Amino acid sequence: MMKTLLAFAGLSACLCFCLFAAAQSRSRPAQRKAASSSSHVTGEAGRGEEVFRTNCSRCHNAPQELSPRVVRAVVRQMRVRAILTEKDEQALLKFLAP
Amino acid sequence: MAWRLMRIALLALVCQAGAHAQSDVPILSGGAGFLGSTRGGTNLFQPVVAPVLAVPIGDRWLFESRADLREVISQRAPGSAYSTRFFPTLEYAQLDYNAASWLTISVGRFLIPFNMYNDRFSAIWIRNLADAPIILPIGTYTNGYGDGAMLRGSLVSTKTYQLYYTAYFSSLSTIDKLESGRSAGARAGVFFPKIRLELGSSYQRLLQNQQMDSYGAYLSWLPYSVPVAIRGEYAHSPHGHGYWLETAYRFSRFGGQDSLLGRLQAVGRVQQFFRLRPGTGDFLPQTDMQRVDFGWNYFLPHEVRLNASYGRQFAPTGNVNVWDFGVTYRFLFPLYPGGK
Ligand code: HEC
Repeated sequence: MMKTLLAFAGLSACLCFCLFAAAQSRSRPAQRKAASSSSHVTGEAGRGEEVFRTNCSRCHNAPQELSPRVVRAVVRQMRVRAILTEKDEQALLKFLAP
Repeated sequence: MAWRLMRIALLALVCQAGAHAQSDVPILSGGAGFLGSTRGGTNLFQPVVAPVLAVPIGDRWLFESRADLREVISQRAPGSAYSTRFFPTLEYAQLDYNAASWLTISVGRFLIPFNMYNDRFSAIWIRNLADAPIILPIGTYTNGYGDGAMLRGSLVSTKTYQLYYTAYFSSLSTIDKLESGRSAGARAGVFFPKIRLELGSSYQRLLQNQQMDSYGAYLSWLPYSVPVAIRGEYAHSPHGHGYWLETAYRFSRFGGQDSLLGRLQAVGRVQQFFRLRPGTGDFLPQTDMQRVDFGWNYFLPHEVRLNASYGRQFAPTGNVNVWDFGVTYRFLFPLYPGGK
């Protein structure tokens, strides 16, 4: 009984998290827009940034900085994990090490 | 012997890669940390270093490897003396050949690709909670590592969805430090980049003394509008089945990722495991088990992370409190300096 209750409490806590977070996001639509339109990078590098934002965040936080010297090896190691096509990979390289 | 051979092969690889292309510098990355936990009053401390090596060779080849070197300082019972043991583990060491984006062939030692925890979150500096899920041994039998071959790739990639697969075969190995079980398995998943939602399922067939099929499914959702990560897995084997569900919320809405509060992340996880058949040596709890965890992660500058969590575990054999705390550091260097 106690177990079920605690498991339930845990689950509710998880849910509350989500709800709280969702409420947060709704209250700041203007800021969100600003963030998404702040990148003026277009073309291949723009596509690379998108790949980075979508596919590179699936498993871990993006590294705080990536020196151009290591970028190629990093992308080589991560490309299969991040389900990158050859095009995505080229675009990502343009974005990370222009 | 195996170690020596591997070291020689590695050295040759690094030299070869160096000679090849100036721009594809090999990298050494990974993590280091100090993990502490108190489980029902019994303490455990683990200094850990986990180096990851990636050596690109030409345009299509890559050698990649990760080791886990840890000192385990543990007590048998609350208040008893500490004993110390060193555990070096070669987690993967594989040669990848990228034939096309739909086919990468890997041979060597690899992390068994069942569901997502084993090959994505087993690194101590990546996982959100220090303790691995109860169901991790399902589908990654025998020890999470495979020696053999693996195929991976992206099958379809459009703006709205990306379909990927993994298939592998591992042979039985009893070589010291390179142990693995004989098994085969596959995984397929779909990722929706516009909403960062991912769903997948896995299968493993154990091909040893007993043949055993395990199935699993997983979900990961990182909405763009909210700094939250919701992940979960379900796994089933003839010995037992269970699930975990984890939510992590980063307070980056409060002044950005790098603000005092924005560096904080709250994590919650619930888990249940149900024993279906008694079994020893399957690394699963002997009885049904439930567990809830709640923790905080704090991301300091320079890739240092502090974490603390509390978990309560429920089982017919007794309930226990588990406290975890730790500090991890993540690093990344080019293997040789200079150049552009
Ligand atoms: C499927 C999961 C997954 C995806 C997607 C992924 N990574 Fe990783 N990444 C990992 C894991 C796991 C490690 C830890 C090293 C290891 O175990 O091989 C890692 C390590 C790294 C490292 C080394 C430093 C560190 O934190 O360990 C960098 C840099 C990195 N990834 C960048 C990227 C980039 C850029 C992308 C997008 C192209 C990406 N990752 C996509 C799983 C992933």
